[in-house]
Amino acid sequence: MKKWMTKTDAVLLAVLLVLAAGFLFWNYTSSKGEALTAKVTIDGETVLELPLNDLKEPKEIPLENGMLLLAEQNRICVLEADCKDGICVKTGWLERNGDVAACLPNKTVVSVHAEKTAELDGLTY
Amino acid sequence: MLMKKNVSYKVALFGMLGALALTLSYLESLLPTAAFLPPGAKPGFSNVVNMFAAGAMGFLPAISIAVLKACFAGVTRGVTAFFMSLCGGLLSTCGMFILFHKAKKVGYVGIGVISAVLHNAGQLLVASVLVGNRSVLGYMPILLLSALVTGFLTGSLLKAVMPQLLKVLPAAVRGEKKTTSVHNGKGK
Repeated sequence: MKKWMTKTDAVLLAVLLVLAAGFLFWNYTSSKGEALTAKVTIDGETVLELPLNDLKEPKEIPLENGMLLLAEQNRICVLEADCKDGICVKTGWLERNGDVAACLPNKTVVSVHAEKTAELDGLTY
Repeated sequence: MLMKKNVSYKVALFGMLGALALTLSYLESLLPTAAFLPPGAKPGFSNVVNMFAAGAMGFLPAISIAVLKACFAGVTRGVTAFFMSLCGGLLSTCGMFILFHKAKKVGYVGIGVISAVLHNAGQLLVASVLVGNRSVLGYMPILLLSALVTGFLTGSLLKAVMPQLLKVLPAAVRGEKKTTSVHNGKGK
């Protein structure tokens, strides 16, 4: 008869916990305030790339499949989608590098990425 | 005669387990995105049934329940849900079976957690293929975290009900080595 919890289980739990928590913490702290670009793909094809950093006022973006996005300065979210579960809507704001809202029924993925800005704004000699 | 009895036992038991799994996954879908879980994550209570089948009945019944659940998801929630449930279910059921029968050092909690993680991994793989975008895999850390919690719960739940269920189950249904191959002939 198997035990409820063994030493192996405890080690496994601890390792996974550290992994997940570490990654989330790193994700949470490392990238706030970077200039983000939103990328929307439908069925694997990029249909929209939008720099979010210089948006002055909120902008609604309807997609061809009936989804409605709302972009604000440096963040974006899915406002409406016609799917049943609405996971992409519940995901809320995407405001950190790597954040993703996926709508599987519509095969649509909204993600934000930090722009690969050069370390230096410019060079003078 | 004995064999016949076993077959009908198996059929009845499998039917009940299947119904239980479907009911649990349906009830789960009624939960308004449980507050403590990230969007898209579910408690996975019906995995208890899978685990029971994998641990106490054998590989084939467990896999069949996974497939049944996938079909149910397909009928109620569409093709996407079918593939996600199927891939997640098959992966986690294989994992459960191996852990139950080969990994002596892993207990119920470990099985629950690993199978929950495998389930999520399978689903995310399908999701990333379906949407043709790998950034979906960014969900993994948060899903990993929720799998830790839900896997712990489902594993503990199974540990709590397993002894009672085993008492009820006739030995022949358990898929143990005591039974001759005749009994397993139907299942293969």
